[in-house]
Parts: sequence; structure tokens; C-alpha cells
Amino acid sequence: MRLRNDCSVLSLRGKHLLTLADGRSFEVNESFAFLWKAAAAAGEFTAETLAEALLSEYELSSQDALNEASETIALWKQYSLTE
Amino acid sequence: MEAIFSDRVTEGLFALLRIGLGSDEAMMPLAEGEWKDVLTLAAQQSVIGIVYAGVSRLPEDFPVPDEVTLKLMAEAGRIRKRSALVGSVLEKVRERFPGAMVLKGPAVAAFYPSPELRESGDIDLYFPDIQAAPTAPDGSSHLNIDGIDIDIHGSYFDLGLRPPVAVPSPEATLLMLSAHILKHAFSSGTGLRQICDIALAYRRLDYDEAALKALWKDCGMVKWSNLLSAFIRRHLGIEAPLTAEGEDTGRLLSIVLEGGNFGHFAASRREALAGSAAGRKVDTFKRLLGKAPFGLRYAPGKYLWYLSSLAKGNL
Repeated sequence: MRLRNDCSVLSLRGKHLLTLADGRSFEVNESFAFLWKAAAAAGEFTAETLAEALLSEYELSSQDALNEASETIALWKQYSLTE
Repeated sequence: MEAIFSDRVTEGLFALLRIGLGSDEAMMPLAEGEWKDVLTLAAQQSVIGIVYAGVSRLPEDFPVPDEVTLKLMAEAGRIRKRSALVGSVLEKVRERFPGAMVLKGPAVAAFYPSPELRESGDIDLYFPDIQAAPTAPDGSSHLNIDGIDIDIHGSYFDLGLRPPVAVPSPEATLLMLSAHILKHAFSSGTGLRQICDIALAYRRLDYDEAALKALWKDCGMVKWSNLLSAFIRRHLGIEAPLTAEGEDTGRLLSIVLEGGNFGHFAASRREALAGSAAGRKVDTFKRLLGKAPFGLRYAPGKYLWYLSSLAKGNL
């Protein structure tokens, strides 16, 4: 799966903002922003791809990383942020 | 009612522009209300993307209100999206009209440290071979591709004459940008985006200073060009060629702050823009007459040419 290219996440001074295709914006947390950027950099991604990215940056167990990545991807799908 | 901004807000905006364009100077602290006014002023001047770049370069512990940070990110996202759209339209334009030269806008964005943060407006095209220029179905020289307006210009320079310089060349680009700002300073008003454009062109282009100054003389733009260079050096901290030291930049600052981008934020201009084409021309003519002291001081030949062109309906 891929992220929709008409949505974006910007980070500035510890704040992270998701901007949707229709121009609406929402503040998101650091984990969301980190995974978004990892997914954007990867192009095609899976929960496993993003779990690996989490493990390279944060001290987590493999299972916790996979859970975090899976939950975030489920959220993205729920709000149609993937294609 | 037009907003009046304090000197601290104006200075704060200029400091952020300098930092956003690469300066390592220290930022002055601002109160929360001043930050909000800086954003309002930056939006009026179409330079909020550069302010975003400036804030992103401040030390992490420098106090910036969260609301300002979030607003800047939202604006930067909007500007990037528009830049991407303009970029895709530009590709189509280059494919469909290989004889076109792109003036201003997207052509100068390349001079910016982050081109995608320059606010994009319309696309302006010039065809050295006028026979290759397209016309819209209604016969006008305005096109629209994917929602982006495209204007076809009959001349490369807004000067009423053909200066002795190759087009395109660094000197021609600088003269064209300067003449464009001058035209708007005389009439509807000019803003900081246009001035940042030429400032960055001065920084990035490898131009022949003596040749450029000779062009200024040929075109009757020596005093104006000196004023613009003094403004760029003083407020944006970017080197630009001078013919004389000690120019008072206050007159140009007043024009810039009066109306923002193309003067669209001056109350009377807003009303005129919402009205008929005839009303806009009358408003432009009134503005031109109001700028007589400025015009006659800094570029009298050009000022009188603009005045007569407008009276004849050609501007």
C-alpha cells in the first residue's frame, strides 16, 4: 500500500501537522509523524516495513513495534489516507 | 479599515525573512500578539513560506507560540501543494508551447533556498516569436490550465522600449524584475514577494554589474534601481548593486506596507478589485496620480510613460 500523495505531514519545533487533500489540518503526535515520514520515504510499505523503521529509531520490542505500526496503518485506512 | 503594524512587527518580519533566506542573525523576541501580527503581515505580503523557513531555522529553545507554529505549518502545506500544481502545469505549458519563455513567478522560484515555499501565483509567458503565441477561444491572451491562470505578455519588459540586451540573460532578467516592481509601485502597489524575488536573483545570477548599470541608465531607471538595491540591502540583508550610498528607503517601505502583494490588501484596492474592469482602471489611474511625487523623483520617464499608457488603455 502507499500513502495518498495529496496528504502531507509537516513537522516544526516539535509540533506535527497532518494536512488532508481538502486543506483541513490536524495536529498529530510524534509517532504518527515518524511513521508517516517512514511510509512516505518507502513508497510501498507494509506493517513490517514500518515496524522496522520504528525499531531503528526507538527502543521497543519487535511485537510492540509491529502493534504500533499496525494500529497506525489501521487509522490511516479508516480515514482513507492510503491507496 | 487597513491594519497598522508596529515597527517591532515590521522589524520582526524582516528578521524572519532574512533568517529564512539564509542569514544566521539572532531573532528578536516577540510577544504572542506580535507573532500573530507578523503572520498577518507576512500573508498580506505573500511571504509566509519564507517566514516558515525562518522559524524552522530558529534555535529549539527560542519561544514561538504553538498556535503560530501550527498556523505556519498549515500555510507551508498549502503553499507546497500550490507549487506542485504550478510545477505540473508548467510541464504541460513547456510541452504544448516550446517557444514560450517563463517570466517571473516559477522562473524566479528556482532562486530560492526552498523553491516550493515561494508562493506561486499565475504563470506569465512571453513568446519571442509572437506568431507562436496561443490565444484563448475568446481571443484574449489569458489561458487557464488545471485552474492556474496563464497570461501571455506582448513584451519581455514592462518598459515601453526595447533595451539593448539579449533575452534571456542575467541582466535582462534583473531589469525585467525591477521594471515589474516599478510598474506596481507606481500603480496598484507592490509587495515583499516581488522584492524577495529580485533580491534572490541578485544573489544567484552571475551578472555583469557595469552592463546592468548601463542598462539602468539607458532605461531611465538609475534612481529607482538604486532605491530598490538600498531597500534589499537594508531590509533583506542581500547584496545588490548601488550607484550611490545613503538612499532613504522609507518611501518604498511605505508603498510596500500600504497594500501588500500587488496592493491587494489596501482597502480601496480591495473594493476596486471586487468591482468592474472600468472601476479597476479608474482606481489604478487614481493610484498612479497619487504616486506622482514618488514617480517623478525616482523614474520620471517611466512614470510619465505608465501614465500615458494607462490613459490610452494599454496598461
